[in-house]
Amino acid sequence: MHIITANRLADGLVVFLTGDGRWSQIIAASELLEDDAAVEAALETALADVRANRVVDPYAVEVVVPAAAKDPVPRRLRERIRTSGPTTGHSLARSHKRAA
Amino acid sequence: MYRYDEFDRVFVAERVAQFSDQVARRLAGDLSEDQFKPLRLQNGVYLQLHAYMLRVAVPYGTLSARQMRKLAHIARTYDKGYGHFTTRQNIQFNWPRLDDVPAILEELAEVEMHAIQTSGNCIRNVTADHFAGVAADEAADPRPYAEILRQWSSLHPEFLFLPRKFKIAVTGDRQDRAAIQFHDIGYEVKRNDAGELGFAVYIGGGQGRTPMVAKKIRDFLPEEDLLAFSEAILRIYNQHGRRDNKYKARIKILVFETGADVLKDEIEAEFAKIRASALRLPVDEIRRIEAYFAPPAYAIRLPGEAALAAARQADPGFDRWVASNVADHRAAGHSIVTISLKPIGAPPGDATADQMDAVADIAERYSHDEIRVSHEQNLVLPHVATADLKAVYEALLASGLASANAGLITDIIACPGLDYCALATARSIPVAQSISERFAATARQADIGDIKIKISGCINACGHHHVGHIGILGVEKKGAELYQITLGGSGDETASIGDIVGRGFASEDIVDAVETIVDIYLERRQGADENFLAAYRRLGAAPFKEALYGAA
Repeated sequence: MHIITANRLADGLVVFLTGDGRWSQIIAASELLEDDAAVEAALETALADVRANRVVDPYAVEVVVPAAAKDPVPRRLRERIRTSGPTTGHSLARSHKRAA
Repeated sequence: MYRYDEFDRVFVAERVAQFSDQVARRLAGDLSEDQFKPLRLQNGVYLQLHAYMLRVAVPYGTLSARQMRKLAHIARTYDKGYGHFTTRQNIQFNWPRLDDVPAILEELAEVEMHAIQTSGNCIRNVTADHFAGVAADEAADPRPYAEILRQWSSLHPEFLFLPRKFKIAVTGDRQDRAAIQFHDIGYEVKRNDAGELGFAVYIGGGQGRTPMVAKKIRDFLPEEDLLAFSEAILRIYNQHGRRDNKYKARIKILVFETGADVLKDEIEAEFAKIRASALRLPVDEIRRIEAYFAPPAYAIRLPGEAALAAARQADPGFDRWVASNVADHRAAGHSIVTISLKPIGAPPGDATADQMDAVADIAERYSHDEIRVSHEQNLVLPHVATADLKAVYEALLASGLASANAGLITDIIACPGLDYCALATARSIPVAQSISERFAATARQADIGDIKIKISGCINACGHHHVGHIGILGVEKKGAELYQITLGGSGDETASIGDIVGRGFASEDIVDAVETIVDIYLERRQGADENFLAAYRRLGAAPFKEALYGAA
């Protein structure tokens, strides 16, 4: 199973493609893509948003949906860290003064 | 300190205006990402794992209090209240918004700072010994030459699109704290037998996936030839460096594939052609730049040795801090203070905005308004009167900046790793934190003595693991983080690349492995005077391998 992620152009933050073609910072809102055709179609939507200057660098991320919870969890550590933020350090307890 | 002249001011202002326009055009959709990406990189803006990252140049690692306060202000206003000092003596902000970058660059320009050439295939920020100008036994302050190189390399039209990035380091001391043999060009300022100033020239050093120790191609280059020779090296590299494969594009590969002797002849031939040109440095111009770096007018202070000894005896924490973080200064009655950015269990190299402000205040009051950033991710107060050491210590203590561990096992270099970096394959910071916590006990750190642990989260080696006495390289294997250990690397004048000791360790085992290595060292050393590197060079890898993996 896959989801589509990208970075938002103006602030660079990580976003996920939702079922209604918008971008959310919450992975739970992302559309779950069951097969290659669905991934390809979603990437087309994402690339249109690249051309529309909303997001940059979209790609598909492989996820699992654990039985216990509903939120998709990326398979690779890199994508899990990218989803939930640095696992340590000064950014953990701090919010951005200029958050949108 | 160097102050911008009219030329510097204009070119930085023009670049801020140009890039602000480019950002506006990108946000409006007039530039595509493909068009914009090389432009943002030329201005230090990366897109990292979670957000944009802005890398700000700190030329040869020297900052004034006013500049440090501006960095604090930027951290507070445009980021999450902290900054990360890097192994290239720069500072990185991890969370700026792209639409804020023009405002940030404008604020930086107010204090004569910028982010130009902190990325891209150009000549990067020139680095220098962080004790430059104050080290007890240097031939000359290397920073005037670094500044001359900065002026020459900034927006140099011929060298803005090199095969790959290009890093120059300068030291004025035989004892190399700037790792010059691991740079594309390393210059060691020295005097010849006639007492004239010049340089030993090294080329082709580097780390990354193909670590190489530089080759010396000149034992003595007269100082007036600095730019002509640099231009000759860059021109030959620009012509012959590989552009077909980015992993083989650095000058170290050209040196390796061509042979240092052949390349040296080509460089010398080019140098002979251009030597007597406008590139020849007028001596009065060198002296004019040098004047910016003249030592401050040190007040004549009582040596304060007796008071210092008494204060050390009365306060064991202060005593430990003096022992590890205070170095000899060339001026009588003065000391060099290292401010460790490695509190136990904290991410190496981070400073909060409040800490940056505190360092600025302390530097203004006690260090003639000067701060250095070291490639070991610490800060330095270069001009502290020995009689003020206790007051400086107390002020640092109040800001959580008095960790007494400079040069000790918890003074670890680590790249941002997979917690921030889009290229990383494993985390670095948590490994540094765990090692730091394991070895927190002060008596044990003092007993272990001088040792450098350096951690990279991928093969690009920003954490300098190849030159760690103990180097750790994080990779991804079967979906998990795996850490390879190298031993015996060194970035000093005895330059060496660490040996891979054997198979890697899982994240839950890496700290135990480091402890095993340290225990073998303590067991086998010939007394406390033999530091880890010396013991490893004498013993070789065998006893460490046996302890880690069992008898072969």
